[in-house]
Amino acid sequence: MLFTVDPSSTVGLADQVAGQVRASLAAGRLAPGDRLPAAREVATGLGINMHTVLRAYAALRDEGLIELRRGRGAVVRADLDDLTARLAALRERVGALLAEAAALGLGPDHVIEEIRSFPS
Amino acid sequence: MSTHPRTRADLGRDLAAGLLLLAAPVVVVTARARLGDRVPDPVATHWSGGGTADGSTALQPYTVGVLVAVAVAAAVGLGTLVALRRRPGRAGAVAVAGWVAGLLATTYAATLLASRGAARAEDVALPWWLVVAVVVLPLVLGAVLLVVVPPGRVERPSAATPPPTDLVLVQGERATWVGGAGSRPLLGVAAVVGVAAVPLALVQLPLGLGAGLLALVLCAVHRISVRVDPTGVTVGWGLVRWPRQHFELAGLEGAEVTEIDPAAWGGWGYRVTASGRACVVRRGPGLVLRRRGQVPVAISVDDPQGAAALVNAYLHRRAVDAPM
Repeated sequence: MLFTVDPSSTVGLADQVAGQVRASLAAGRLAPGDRLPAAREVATGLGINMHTVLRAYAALRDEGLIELRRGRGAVVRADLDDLTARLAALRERVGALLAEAAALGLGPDHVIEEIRSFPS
Repeated sequence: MSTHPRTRADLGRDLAAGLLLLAAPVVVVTARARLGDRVPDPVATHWSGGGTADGSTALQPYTVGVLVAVAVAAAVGLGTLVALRRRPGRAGAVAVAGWVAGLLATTYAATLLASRGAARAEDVALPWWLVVAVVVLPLVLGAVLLVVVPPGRVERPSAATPPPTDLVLVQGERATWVGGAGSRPLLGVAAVVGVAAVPLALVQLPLGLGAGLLALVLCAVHRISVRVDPTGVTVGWGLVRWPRQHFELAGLEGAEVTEIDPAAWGGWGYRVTASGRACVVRRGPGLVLRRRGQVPVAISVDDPQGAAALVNAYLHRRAVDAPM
């Protein structure tokens, strides 16, 4: 699968890597039971530290999206339901929204204000 | 799957090659019919260095044995002509089959010719010109077949789907694509060979060690991992991703997605053919790298669209950054 990171972004590298996995899950490019690429390969390809990728994978495990098994790598949880994946994708988009706001010099409170006043 | 249309000329050349192959058994049958009753039985079949006979075989079993061997060799050649229409090495395979059939047939004919009119096998001497004929004629047959047999029509990578171009890399952005392909049947074969190696080693140690080695090799080629990054494309074999092969981005012209047919690329594993290199673990989708001034490389990859798109995106960014 494809990973892209932007070192100049305010979002941390590990969060960027985790975000790509969440987006792939939401888009159906990754399915339950699929294996994620080896952390070492991803790190070498992106020119970043392997522990950064492992931190991203650990965060995904803590969210209940993947399983990490010693010697078997990272695998998308077989019992992962659609709702969890879509919630992860939503969280991902919230993160992107906050990053964009931060680039404009706006804090999370301002974003919340924007969401409250959004005509629904 | 698109194949190169075979022309009428190809069919004619295949027919000519088939007739040449059939000439070998005809020579054996003719020699037996014309000379069979004028040679001693048993007939001289082995010669000392000086050309005098020092071994003999009964005529009937000798004829049957030679005829069966010639028929098998000719059948292998004919089978190659019929079955392997798209295999690059088919002309070579047919030529070797023809050489074997020709060597057996001319040896038989020469044996009967030398024995013609002799009373006993021990009286027969093999003249030098027959030895020359036995060496030269089969080689000529093989060479003619090599020229006559049309080469296999390999599916050219140029027939692949156009490269995906939707991926654009912004300045400073780093991207990598990590994937690969594997074959469970190949792993299964490796497991069977590995298990069989144990009893084999107990019976005959070298055979068992050979089987164990084969199992390791099969295990290594059952899976490849592929990484695309700013330096190029890296292919790693087996679970430990070693040995590795690296294709520099600077040497690439573009990447495409294709369906890899192992028969069209020379088989499984790492293949070197006249029309390209290939890292093949299974039939199915793959990535084709077009290289500057070199033959293309085909690599078995699951979902190769992303890999091809990233290679092309890096090539595009390179071209924009450093216009020539």
